[in-house]
Amino acid sequence: MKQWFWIMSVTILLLLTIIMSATTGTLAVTPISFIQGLWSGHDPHVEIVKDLRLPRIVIAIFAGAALAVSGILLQAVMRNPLAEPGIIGVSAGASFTAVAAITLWPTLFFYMPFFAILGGAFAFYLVYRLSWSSGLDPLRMILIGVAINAVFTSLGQVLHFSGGISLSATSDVAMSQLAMRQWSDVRIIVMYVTLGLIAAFSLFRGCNHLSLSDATAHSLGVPVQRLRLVISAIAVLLASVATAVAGMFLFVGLLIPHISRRIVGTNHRYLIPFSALLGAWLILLSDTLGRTLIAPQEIPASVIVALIGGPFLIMLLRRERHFARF
Amino acid sequence: MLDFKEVSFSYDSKNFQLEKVTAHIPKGQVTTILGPNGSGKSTLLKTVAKAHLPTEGAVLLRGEDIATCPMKQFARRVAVVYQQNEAPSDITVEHLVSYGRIPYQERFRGMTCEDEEAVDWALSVTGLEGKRHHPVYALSGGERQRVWIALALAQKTPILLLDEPTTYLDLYYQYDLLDLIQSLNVQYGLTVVMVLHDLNQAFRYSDTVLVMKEGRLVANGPPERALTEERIYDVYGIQMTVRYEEAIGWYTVPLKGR
Repeated sequence: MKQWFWIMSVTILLLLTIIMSATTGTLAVTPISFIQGLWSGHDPHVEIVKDLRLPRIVIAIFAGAALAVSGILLQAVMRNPLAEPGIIGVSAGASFTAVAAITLWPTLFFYMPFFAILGGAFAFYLVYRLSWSSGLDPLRMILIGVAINAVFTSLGQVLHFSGGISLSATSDVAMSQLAMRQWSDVRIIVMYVTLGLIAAFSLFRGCNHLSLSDATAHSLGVPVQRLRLVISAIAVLLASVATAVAGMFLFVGLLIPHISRRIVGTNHRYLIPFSALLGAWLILLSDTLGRTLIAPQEIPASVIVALIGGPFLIMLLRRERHFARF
Repeated sequence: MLDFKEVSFSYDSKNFQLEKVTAHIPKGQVTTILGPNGSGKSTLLKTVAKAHLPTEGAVLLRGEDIATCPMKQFARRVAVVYQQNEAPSDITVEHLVSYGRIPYQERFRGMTCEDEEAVDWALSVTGLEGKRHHPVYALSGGERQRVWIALALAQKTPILLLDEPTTYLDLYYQYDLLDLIQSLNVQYGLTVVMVLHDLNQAFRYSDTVLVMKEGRLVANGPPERALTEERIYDVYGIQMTVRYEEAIGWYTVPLKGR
């Protein structure tokens, strides 16, 4: 199967990028000494890499996978190829509530993902509710999403510029700064995102069934509304946790699903794992480029993603054709 | 087999799209619902498909109210082909037809031998065996419509509902499709209920017709009895001639005047 070939290929690409990312930077180690150091645990350089660089690598991988799969799920639920956690305001909602919560109650830092999920879910509910008019109108949904996104982004900026007690933390969440991430952040994102990815993959058939019209899916006994609710909840969880831990990344949830469909097709059995790996690779590569291109200065990974994503998206949209009416 | 008991339906409880429709759909026959645009044909079909629940009255399947039947179980008894369908552009014929087995599939379980046999059978009777690995978008309009019928057949239901199945098809494919539907009825005893616009086709392919006007059922019976010239004028507002053609052995309905 050509799909498995592509999944294997992107896995190898990701592994190579992990090694490249871990060994490149201000403190450079060779790939062999890095692997040996990881194994033995006695190489002081590798220990520094392990403490400073590995957490951001793991976070980049899980955030990329989460945002890409969140985009896939939202597009399946809304049958709209433009649905993306960034565009429809889920990420902005998550970011705002996470920032607001840690500004108001800094001691509840560990519970930041919960607040992010609440905010993301609220933003998604608003978009879904306000764009529903005897069915989801794709254009209306995107426009309302853009409006909700703008409102939450502005609220986040108000908090940021009002200079709360956790200014550095608000800045990290709002602007996707992966530097200085710690193993405690890794634990949070790995736990939530792993659960979310497993749940997403277990529902690949449901995602496929939602690609039929609602009337046809209903006539086949597919519980359309219940399925939409469950898949949306997983999408919101993935995007919100990724935003809370890694910050705002636009385009990943839009760009990766579009590229992935072109490579492995529209079957979610392959689309979900492939886009998870490709999303992980994109953010990791962007983060690695961001911290090495003009070292010792850093460009946030989200900036690199947007720089790659913007032109690429325009190119893809000019050739768009995913769903067909028969 | 299917009974409408005083079925009424309204979206807003004010304007009724269906008003107290009572009718019987006989088992193993082809029943066609006719009527002008907005007369409630598709709405009536959708109440049988459980896409709409009647505001008043009930639709009975073998004496049981379909409203009480869980949808997955219902989908093993009644299959529907809608007028407009949607699917991912790259899906293959076989994959799309396999969705007809959804009502039989347990969660987290793939296709069983029985499922595969049903898909093979559906592809075979619709003449799509040779196209099973083709992407659906690469097929002609007539072939695509066959794919949706194959999907419905893979459900292995005794009842097949079709909402204007010949819309968007050229004349050749219209009759090709209606011949297929008729052969499914004759060979496999499938009970067919469909919505059509063409009176000639209704005469040619129906055992029974239900004629709708402004949400009410105004005639019910064999086409030659239910579709008189007077009734056609009353329902459609145009004068048609209904005549039996000895040479071809069925009725034709040419336009007489307006």
